[in-house]
Amino acid sequence: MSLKELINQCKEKDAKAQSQLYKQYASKLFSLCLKYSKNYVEAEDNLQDAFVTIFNKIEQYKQKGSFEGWMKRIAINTALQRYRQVGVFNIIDENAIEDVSVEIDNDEVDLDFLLQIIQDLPDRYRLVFNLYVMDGFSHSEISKMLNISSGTSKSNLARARMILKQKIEDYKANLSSQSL
Amino acid sequence: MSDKKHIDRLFQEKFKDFDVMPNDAVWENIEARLEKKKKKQRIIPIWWQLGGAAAAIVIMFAIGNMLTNNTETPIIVDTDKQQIEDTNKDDINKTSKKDSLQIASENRIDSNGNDESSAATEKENDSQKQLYKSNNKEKGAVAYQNSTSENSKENRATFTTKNKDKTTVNTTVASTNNTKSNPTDNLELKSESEIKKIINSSTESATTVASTEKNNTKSEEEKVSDTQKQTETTEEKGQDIEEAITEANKTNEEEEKELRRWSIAPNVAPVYFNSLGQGSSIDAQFNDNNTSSDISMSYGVKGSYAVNNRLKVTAGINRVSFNNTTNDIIALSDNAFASRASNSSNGNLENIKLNNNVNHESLMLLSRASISDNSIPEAINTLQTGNLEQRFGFIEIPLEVEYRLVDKKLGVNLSGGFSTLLLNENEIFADVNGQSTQIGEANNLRDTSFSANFGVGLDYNLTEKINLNLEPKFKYQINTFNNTSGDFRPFFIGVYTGLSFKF
Repeated sequence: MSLKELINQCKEKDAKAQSQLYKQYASKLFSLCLKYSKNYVEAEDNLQDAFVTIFNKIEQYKQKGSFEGWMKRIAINTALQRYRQVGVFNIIDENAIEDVSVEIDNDEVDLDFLLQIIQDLPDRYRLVFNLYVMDGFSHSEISKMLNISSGTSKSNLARARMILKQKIEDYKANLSSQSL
Repeated sequence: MSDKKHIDRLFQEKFKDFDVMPNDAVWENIEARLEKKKKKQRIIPIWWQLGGAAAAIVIMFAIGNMLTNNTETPIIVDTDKQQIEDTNKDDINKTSKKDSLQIASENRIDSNGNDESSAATEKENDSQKQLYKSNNKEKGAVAYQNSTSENSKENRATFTTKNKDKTTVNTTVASTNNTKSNPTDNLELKSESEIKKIINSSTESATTVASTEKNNTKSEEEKVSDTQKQTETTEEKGQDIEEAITEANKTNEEEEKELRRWSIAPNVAPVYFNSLGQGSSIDAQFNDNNTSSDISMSYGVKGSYAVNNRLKVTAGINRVSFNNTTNDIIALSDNAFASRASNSSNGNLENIKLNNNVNHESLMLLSRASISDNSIPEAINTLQTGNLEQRFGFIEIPLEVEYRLVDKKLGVNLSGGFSTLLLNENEIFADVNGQSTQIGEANNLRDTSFSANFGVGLDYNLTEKINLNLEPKFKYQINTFNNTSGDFRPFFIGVYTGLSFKF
């Protein structure tokens, strides 16, 4: 069955098609949710909400642009909405920070560790980092999505990079001290 | 040695093929939540169940009613018959008496007349007898016709024991007719023999009465003509009786039909609202947005009066509610963004009166299309598009004329008319941050409006009194909205189903 047929059947609320669509895209969207959430449980919640939204609004998908992109946007938006509702955005310190290039040794670093340190970032740092680095949004886009200034977006990204770099370096130091 | 790398690249490369399958429980939860959605759409089967239960109750009631009616109808038939019998008897008696009187009088005249005249009167008598006999026969035939018609009537009745009773009654009626006609024959025979005797006596006295010949013949002629007239009148009476009986039968039949002129029909209908042209009832910026409507239910009662077999006038009352969803709308409740945007563009919507707790400062509704024109697409693309749902309902009072095309067990009819729509529900909901929130009401819905209706109906006679109806109807709303943008011509379609009860 082609993707187009599958989408059309999902539009008709066909249970089998919905199940198949889920199986096809669950892992991709779940990995995205994991990056945008602060832990596994929250990622599961977001995935759930995202898929419910996808199935309910699938008739709005007009076959323009990639279907995966459309679903990803819904998943991202679901994650963002969680923090919009919580109102986290206004709490964080807005001090600007210069945009420094953070470089790191290209050693083998465990993927689970990288995910862990992303999730451990403060909520808005995590969202800005993901939006900018992982999903290629510009600072001006991010500023509109999160209802912050683009300067804040830039400083949040820089802080996120610093925190991540520090953690990776600590991790490496820890590893080398163990090996010694 | 490892080369230095930008941290962004590290994460991008590492997460390039990052794929984690979530727990099975996640899908189960999603399925459960989708299930809930489906339950909402099962409103129609619930209505069917309710309708079925209602129909069962009504059918039981109708059967009970029929049983009680059955005990009444035979009595009516009996009285009819007795009346007919009585009139028959009376008429026969009267005519036979008159005839015998006539004959007697003629005979007396004859006794005064001469041979020739008596011979002539004899001939006339014979013809009279024939007439009389034919009259009697006719009456007999009428009586039999009555009995047969009565029999056929009884055959319709379901109780066989009563049938037997009535057939015996009929046979007695017939026999009484016979016995009544027999005595008159006997009278005739007697009168004939008397005539002969009188003639004999008259021939003896003929010479004595010769002088009075001319006068007598004149008087005879006059009297003969009189008697002829009288026989004519009796014939006419015979015809009158027939006519009276047939008329009586006709009126009986008509009354039976007239009994079912009125009917009442509770109905339920899935209705679908849409617009013929592209347009919006809410604001011009939504003209090109896709709209959709859920199928909702209308329910009510319709009464009708049959003017004749083909034509019915119907009136009723229905509760009907619609929803009309405008898709691809972005609703923002973030204060900063909303106020910023509403400064720059059209934050106020033409035809919405917002609730007090929602004002234009805190809420902004935009069509996605209008945003892409403002060239800030990427940021907004990630915002979830929502819907603007307008809900409105009416008390509908339809007044229609129904013409029956096919008048059989399965009937087809055409109906047309108009409805008065009284507004009783008016709400507008928007998806604000993923939650459906009531934001206000439309200010362009008229309290009273009209629709032009057209429908094709099918009905099936379950019994003489109960019909099952199925009637798809198209209703074009004429002045429901008073300030619409674009080409917004609303209509709704409903498939009205129900039972109608004639009485």
